[in-house]
Amino acid sequence: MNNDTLSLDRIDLKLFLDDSVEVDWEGCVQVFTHWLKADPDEEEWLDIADYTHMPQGPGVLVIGPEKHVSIDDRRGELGVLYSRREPFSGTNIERLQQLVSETARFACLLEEADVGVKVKTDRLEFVVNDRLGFPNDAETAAALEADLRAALASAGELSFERDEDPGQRLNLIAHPAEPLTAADWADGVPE
Amino acid sequence: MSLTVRNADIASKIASIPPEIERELNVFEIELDRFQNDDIPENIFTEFRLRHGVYGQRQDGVQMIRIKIPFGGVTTEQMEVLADVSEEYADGVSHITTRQDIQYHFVKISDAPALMRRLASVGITTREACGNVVRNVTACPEAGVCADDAFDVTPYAKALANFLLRHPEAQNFGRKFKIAFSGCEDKACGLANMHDIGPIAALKEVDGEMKRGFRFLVGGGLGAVPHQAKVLYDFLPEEELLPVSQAIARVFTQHGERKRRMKARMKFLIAKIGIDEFRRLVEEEREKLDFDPRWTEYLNHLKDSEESPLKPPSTLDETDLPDDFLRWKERNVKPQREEGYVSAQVTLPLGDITADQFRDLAAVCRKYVKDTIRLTVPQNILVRWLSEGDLLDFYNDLKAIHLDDFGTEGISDVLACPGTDSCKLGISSSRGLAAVLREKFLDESYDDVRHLSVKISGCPNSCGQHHIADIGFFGSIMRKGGHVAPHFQVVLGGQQQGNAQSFGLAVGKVPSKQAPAFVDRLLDLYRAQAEEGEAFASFVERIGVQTVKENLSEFNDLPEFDDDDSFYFDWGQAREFSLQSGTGECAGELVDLVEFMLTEADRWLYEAALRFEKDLYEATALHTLQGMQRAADALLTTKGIQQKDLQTTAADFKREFVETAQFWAPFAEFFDKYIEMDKSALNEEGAHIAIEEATLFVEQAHEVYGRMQIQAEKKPRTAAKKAPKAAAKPAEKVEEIVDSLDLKGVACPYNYVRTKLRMEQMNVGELLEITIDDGEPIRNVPASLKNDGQEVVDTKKIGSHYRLIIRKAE
Repeated sequence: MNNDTLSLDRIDLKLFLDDSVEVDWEGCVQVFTHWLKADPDEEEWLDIADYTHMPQGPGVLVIGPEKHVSIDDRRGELGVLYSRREPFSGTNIERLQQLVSETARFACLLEEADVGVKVKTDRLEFVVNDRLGFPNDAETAAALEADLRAALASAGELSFERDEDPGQRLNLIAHPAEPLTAADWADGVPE
Repeated sequence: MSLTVRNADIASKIASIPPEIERELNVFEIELDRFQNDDIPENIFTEFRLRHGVYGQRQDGVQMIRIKIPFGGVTTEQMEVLADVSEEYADGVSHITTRQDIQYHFVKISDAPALMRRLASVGITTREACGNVVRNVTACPEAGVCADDAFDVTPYAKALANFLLRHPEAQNFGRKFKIAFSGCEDKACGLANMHDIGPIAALKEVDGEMKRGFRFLVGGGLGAVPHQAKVLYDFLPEEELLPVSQAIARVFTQHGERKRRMKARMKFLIAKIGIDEFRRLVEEEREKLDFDPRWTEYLNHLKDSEESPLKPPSTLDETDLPDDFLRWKERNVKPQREEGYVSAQVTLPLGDITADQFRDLAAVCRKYVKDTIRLTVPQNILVRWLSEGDLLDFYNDLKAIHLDDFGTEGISDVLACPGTDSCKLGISSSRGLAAVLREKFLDESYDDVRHLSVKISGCPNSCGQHHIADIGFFGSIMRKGGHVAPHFQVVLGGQQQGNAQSFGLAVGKVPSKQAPAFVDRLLDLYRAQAEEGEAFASFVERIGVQTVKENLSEFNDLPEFDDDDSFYFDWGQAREFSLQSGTGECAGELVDLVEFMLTEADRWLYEAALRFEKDLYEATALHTLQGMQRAADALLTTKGIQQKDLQTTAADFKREFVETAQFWAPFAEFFDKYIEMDKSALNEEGAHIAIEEATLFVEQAHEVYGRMQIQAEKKPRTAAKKAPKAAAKPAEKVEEIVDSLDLKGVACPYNYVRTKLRMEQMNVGELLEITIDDGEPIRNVPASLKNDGQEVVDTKKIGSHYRLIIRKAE
């Protein structure tokens, strides 16, 4: 986005799961609990919120002051959702790059934990969690798409789609021509 | 306005916020800014933010924000904004509460102003949703469409809510204040009996004309010690509703308890002075009030609140209807007074709805009704004025958005407060247990008992309304071998009917993990032994508490941690249970524990009174003794003395409180008297005296504890001192361990209390050595001592214990 636009402070990324694998929700709670107990200097978390009683709900979240990470089932599409609550540093492009690598890093940790989490990276759903500053219209979406293309330039060809409902948050789903694994994204945007 | 808004639709809505509301929001923002810059003290800001609906969660750094929705009435536009706000500032979930309003969790305080503005842009406020003010005014969700109501109470609920909101005479209460309207006497929906003010719609013929008014109840409440409301007026004319409520607010402000929070609800004032004296005071204040045109203005516009349907009336084609629809219709749909229309409840699991569902539901509602939607006390959503012929289409639309659960207000519609998920007062996981029970009750094998209600509170404060459930639970704990296991007290036989006409009785506690099995046993007992058509409350009364306790006993054994640690993990938790989240909570826990125990003492007396009513005089005396013992144990806790048995409590209490003249000796003698007395010989008069004397004892205990708190407040806190260094007398450092305390095996908060008491006897700079256990003690004790301003000089792990050296600070 141009310099005269707002900073991308609240941004979400959802990496969808391979739905042939069944999520072990109790196992996810255990993993999040392990994170919660780990060294707070490395990662600060506040608590876990369990919404597995809700059909197509937010699943299980681990909540921190800067971010929420969850196994999310909204709209019936399971995924690892990373929701940034405090801004990353840097330009909007750098922020989007950090969002991708952070989300992928947590996705990898969940994949390694053997709790039925297997990420597909043929679709990356970006959401700007701020209706005030970023209306879900064509003009703002085009600006976001430009930033995403710049942020993910080294990942190869990308195509985008959007839910155009103006009531929704600004969103774009990125489709890489060559799907990459979570591990590919975790160390930063692939070269 | 400090928001940056590029979204034209939202900008225009925000621009429409009335100037006086915008100013209020600006003031909130300014105060928040001042607090974040350390310009105002935390306690002042806390009270301020509470009055704006911002409530601290048990997790540091995030807030629960509660909003007010008078009588639960929402529009589709409001539903969309509520959904958006939950997504952008909370965790994506709107939680419907038992006061027909909505709570958001995990909100950052810095987001509160934006959240409030978004809500204000569609006429919703958070103002006075928390704090010692008038909370959300509730009303039967079926008001105006129900065949049984005398008239529609909606405009009256709205008028009173608006009148008291920001009213200067409703800003200085000692405690919160709750109002609920009911359209009829007999049903459960209004729950007028459990409110500070509970007007019930009534018609009376005056001079040949039918006049509207209210059977006007006051002084009801749940909480730890529930009180049934008293009748202030059999018939209060409608034009007196607002002025009399204003007069009550004055009386409560002037005469309500202020120092002892636990005794500060209006129910205690009325219990203390009696309903006749209360009425006299109200009438005295009513006489003094200057006329306010708002008292009656709204009566000229009652028709403005009348709802109308979107579609003409119709009937449902009954041919070939799917089974799932029929099941849902049977449980969730009620006919309205008007032929051809029905109201349908949308069941929300544990009162939760996602942002997507909330928005989608708004869209569904727009297809079938005007803005005739109400949030309900059982935490669901009622859609009114559905043309009956549309019902199947409406159901299919709900199904598409996964809101087609059946069983509203039945056994599977388990009601629970937030409990340990987010509430600071939560003891055990009410929502965790509720989710497990709900899943279980959805099975068809529970259809035969689907008329029963299950309600769960995470602590004794009854936000989950456990007192009025057939089967109620409230959070509790049990310690064993240095570990703490979550438990639930079981409360049976409450009745919602008749506006919450009677409260259940506590029958004992079960480990949380055993609660589902206990419920099954209880239901089997009910299935096997209930007489035809016998209500659960009558059944419990008939078989007696003793039979229930016998059935409970199988489930209340707590295994050792090493034998089965699953009992020591709460529902949905992979961490071992502990009473407090976070660290450094000993001091807070001490206050909670003492208050908790004093509350238990109150409850024992309450139960003694119930037994007295049933002519059970020996049981009455036994309960009064239990109450006094609990009160004595509560006070001993402040001295770091852990409760053991009755005789030890009596001896410790005499030494610590009677011989030191802290507790008035004549009242203290009642305790000894009932320990020694042959209680089996008591007659009616003796049992009555036992209640009165035990009440004096327990009240004295409350007072003693209140005095202790006041003295503690008067003591300057070392950590808060900001005297210039030059002016301070230099502390003489004495690098010598002058004393040591072996606190191995001593649980929180007693280890902290004993350390604190010992340090009070030491000189500044002297060192104290303490030995405490691993686990909760090492997490809590050092942090609490640091909070007190003490210096923890050294911490060493020695085997399975910790040795701490603490230096006494100034």
